[in-house]
Amino acid sequence: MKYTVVVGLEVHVQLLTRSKIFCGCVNRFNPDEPNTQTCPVCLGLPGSLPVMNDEAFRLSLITAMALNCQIAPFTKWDRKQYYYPDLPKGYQISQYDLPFSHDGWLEVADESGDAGGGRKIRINRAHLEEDAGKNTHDESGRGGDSRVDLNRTGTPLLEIVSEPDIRSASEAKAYLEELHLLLTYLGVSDCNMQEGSLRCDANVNLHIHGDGGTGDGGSSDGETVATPIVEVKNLNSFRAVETAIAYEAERQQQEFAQTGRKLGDPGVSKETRGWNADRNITFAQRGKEEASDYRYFPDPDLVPVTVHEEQLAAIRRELREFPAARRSRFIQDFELSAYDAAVIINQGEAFANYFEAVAQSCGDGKQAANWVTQSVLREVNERQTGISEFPIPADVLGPVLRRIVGAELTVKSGREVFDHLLSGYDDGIEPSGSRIASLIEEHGLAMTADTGEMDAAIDAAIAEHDRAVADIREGKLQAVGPLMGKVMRVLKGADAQVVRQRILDRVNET
Amino acid sequence: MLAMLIGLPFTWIVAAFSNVNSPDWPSGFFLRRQSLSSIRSTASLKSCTLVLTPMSPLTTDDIRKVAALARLKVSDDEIGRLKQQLGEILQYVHRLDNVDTSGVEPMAHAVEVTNVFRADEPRESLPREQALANAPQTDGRYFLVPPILNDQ
Ligand SMILES: [Zn+2]
Repeated sequence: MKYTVVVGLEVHVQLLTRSKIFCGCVNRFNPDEPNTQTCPVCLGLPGSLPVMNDEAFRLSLITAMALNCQIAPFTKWDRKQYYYPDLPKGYQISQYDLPFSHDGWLEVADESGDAGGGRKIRINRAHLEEDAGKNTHDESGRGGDSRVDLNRTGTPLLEIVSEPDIRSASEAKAYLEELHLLLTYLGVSDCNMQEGSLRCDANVNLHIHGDGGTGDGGSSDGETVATPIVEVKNLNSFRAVETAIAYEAERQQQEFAQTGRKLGDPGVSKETRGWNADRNITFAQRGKEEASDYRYFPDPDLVPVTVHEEQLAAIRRELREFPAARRSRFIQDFELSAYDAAVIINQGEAFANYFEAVAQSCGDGKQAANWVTQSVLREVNERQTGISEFPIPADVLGPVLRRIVGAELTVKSGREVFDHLLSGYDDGIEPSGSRIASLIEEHGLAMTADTGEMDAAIDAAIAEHDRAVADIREGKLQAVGPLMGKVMRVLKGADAQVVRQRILDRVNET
Repeated sequence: MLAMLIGLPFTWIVAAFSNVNSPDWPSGFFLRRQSLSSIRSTASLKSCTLVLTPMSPLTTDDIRKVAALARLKVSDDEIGRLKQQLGEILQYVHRLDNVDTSGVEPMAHAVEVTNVFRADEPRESLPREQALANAPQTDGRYFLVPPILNDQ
């Protein structure tokens, strides 16, 4: 059976405001002190009135622009009615028919990793709503009460709905990773998936391609049929998104082979399934069809919002470079591979800034990329710090690399300087430009340009190693090893290749 | 319990009945769902229409459905009473059918004010004891509610 997986993602992301969306309660993840961040507005007490947080709306506009969305000139908020203990008002304030933004796209790197070969995943809409509280269920099986914490109630929440343009489990993961990167870059969300700042639901079905009557599934007339759409809820890690969609594709294929049920068949409706991350399976949830009659209507407590071009222009002027644009620029300006550019960008804005400063300082983007993606990244990870706390700042690493680029230092010696800077830092010596110079001096790492000095060292070595010299003359070139060792001990900063060639020349000259 | 429905603002009650899936229902009293494309094409409220359909009597199933959506338990006695009273409310609302709105632009809000914002400044929240004060049941830290199945 040949099929295509068709996926659309609904992503909920909490915005990084200081206060909640409609009241002054602090917007902070705080499960340890339940029900300490509430007020009459977010408790839904009678007589209280919501007022829109201007920063929540501004962050929403920024995100919509970054997602290449159209911004609606007129937008309003609606009540989505459902009754659940974590929703004290009995309705969620959301946006129904006039979301503030719609019709955008997000470019996702192609699975081959090629630069510029990304796929545009269309965004249907992004709208601004309020988060609900958090229920904790009794896991003992004794049917104890559920506990409700309303600290999260009223956290500004952006819902970003993609079109069903995603074609594989790995592409879904790539989309979510790109979105995560974009949102953290923009500073609109911390996107902490453990804390639920970024949550994802996936709509999944299969387009099964006709088999032309060969009888191994699909329709016999060569047409494509679709399986019923399944919404998999609460995919709260990149891995969960990928594995749940892969699982669901397999499951739907088997189900179709058994039942032949298609999208649009009588009695076939959208199914909601949960994800069990321990067992790596999706499972049927109780029928939600009954409950999903939300009876939206405009919220009379909130007035509509109009957006003007001047306002958008002002936001646009303040926007930072988007990660996708920066990635392309790094590839272009610094001649990086798509892979290196992606590694650097994916580390976040501070890391990309570090790279850019080093690259500009040493004048060689590739050299800078090699160091930053290998030595620096390894040390940052080992030290479990961020790049901003990394002991060797960009204005110290830059000059080290500049010496390598300028053939004053070999790469090997550069690594030695790098290691000395770090170990010195651990002993309380601050890495600096002058520290580089003294390390090079102290350890004799300067590349020897003086051939007289090199020749003197080589001649001394030749004089001490008659046997090796004889072997070299007989063509056993590996005998050069002991001679090199001797010379390199004297000329620490010398380029080994140059020394080797010079020894061979001297041996054959004399 | 009737008071719970009647006591709600007028709009809430109508909204509760506005989109219920029954062919005879006075559906879409409020802004009716339009295809997104039609809204996008104008990106304004102009594309939303106010639709009123002829009145038909409420049925027992209608009451049960609305009660279920509000998670209210209603007895057979109450259903009879609610059917009549809510029917009268809807009939009253349907007097709006008589208004000629052909030349009237739809509005999203009763007041013609837009862009009311609050600065993003945190204020003090209620102490927990006060937040929990009206709850039927708490453990001093959380609101307690009857067990919710863990599959939602
Ligand atoms: Zn509050």
